[in-house]
Amino acid sequence: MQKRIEQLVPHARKEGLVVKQMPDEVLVYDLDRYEAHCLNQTAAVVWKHCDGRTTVAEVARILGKEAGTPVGEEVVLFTLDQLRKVGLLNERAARPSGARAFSRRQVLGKLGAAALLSAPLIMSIPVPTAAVSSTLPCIPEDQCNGNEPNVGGNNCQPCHTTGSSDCAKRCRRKPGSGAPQGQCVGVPAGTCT
Amino acid sequence: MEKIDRLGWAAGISFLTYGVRVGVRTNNPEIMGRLLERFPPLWKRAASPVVDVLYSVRVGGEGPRSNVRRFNLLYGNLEKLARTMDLDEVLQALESDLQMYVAEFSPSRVFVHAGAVGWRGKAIVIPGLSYSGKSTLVAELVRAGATYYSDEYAVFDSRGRVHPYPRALGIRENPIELPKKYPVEKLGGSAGVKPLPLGLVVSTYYTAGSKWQPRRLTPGQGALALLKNTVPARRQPEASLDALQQAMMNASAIKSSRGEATEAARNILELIDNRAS
Repeated sequence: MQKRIEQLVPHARKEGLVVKQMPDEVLVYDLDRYEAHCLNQTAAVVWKHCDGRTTVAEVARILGKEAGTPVGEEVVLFTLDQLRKVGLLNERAARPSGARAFSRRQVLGKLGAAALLSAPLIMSIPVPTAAVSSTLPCIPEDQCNGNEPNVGGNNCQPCHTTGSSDCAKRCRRKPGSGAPQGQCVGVPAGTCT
Repeated sequence: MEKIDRLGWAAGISFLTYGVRVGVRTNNPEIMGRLLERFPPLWKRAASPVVDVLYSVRVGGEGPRSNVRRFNLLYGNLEKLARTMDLDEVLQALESDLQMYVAEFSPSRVFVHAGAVGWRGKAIVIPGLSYSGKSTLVAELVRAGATYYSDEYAVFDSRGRVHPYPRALGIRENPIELPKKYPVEKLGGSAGVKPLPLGLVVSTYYTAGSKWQPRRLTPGQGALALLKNTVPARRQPEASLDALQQAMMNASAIKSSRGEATEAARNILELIDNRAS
């Protein structure tokens, strides 16, 4: 099994992505999933070398050279797991059966104090639709009962949890719902649109 | 469109705003002044009647019999956007839809839902949706001497510079009512005119009693904080990411919850001044 991990040849997904290079990071916009990711330097180096030819062992050696300290394959495997979770690896790059999954803490331990800043990190966000990113006046959640006044036209107001911009519940007139003009229809809690 | 055209229109105007050609027509010339007040800031009258989007405002009023009143109607191209007895509601709907349309379809600008001010020759951008408190924070930054760029949109060009969108600030005094509008001059401030390079992204939200404890974000994380609030992000992914990448090349980003806006504004400006000295 050790031999299989060493010989694993990961393959990055390239289709349906917009990629922008920053000085020490890479921004990736996934056009299929409407998600965007920021890969730090370590994660970006691993992803860059997922070319279908470079083995996990070789990627670990490349990382070690860049970090100035030896880097174990666990770090690469952890990074590959993270890349796989956010859909940046091709389907055929599945984790070998029986291979351990490593936690971030274990990986940090493997890197050692000298290389802590290089721990692989992928930050992700959903890319909003224009409607979600627009301004609609909010009302407090406890005042949202599905019959909000028709303020500002026929769009109803999103409900809002105090102190946060994420809505726990939205009241919005659904097209074809049969609700009369100016009346709102409640949607279930947790379904922010 | 023929059906709407046949309703009969008495007055109209075509104008240009952030690269979008807009037409607005109405059956009642007397409300033209009220329509103009609802246009985005910095609009310019266009000579050509060819437009990207046409809004039609039909004022209802009295019907053929004294006990009959007609609805006021608003169409955006073919779509009926509002139908109400209250003309103010129609005008509000026009303003909202027009604002959103321009933000999504501007061919040369990337609109990010954010507050923006100028300070020491650079822009401070505060991304966030409604209710994140950005208008209040922008108002306090302006009162502290920053130049007003917008409380609604940070408008980026392809070089990553921030352009003004100096509409009247909308400050909410009551959670369930629409915000009240305050021209920046009423706050003792002035609006910016020229584009500024981005200096700082402040990812923040109001929580009562919260302490200001900013942690630094990387430029890439700052770009994501902006992208999360970028209006045309799905329609124009390349242009959006390009503009934000350029913007963050020489900018920094921080994240923190905040308490009262006055103190937060002071903290932000002090942070920049301390870094500069």
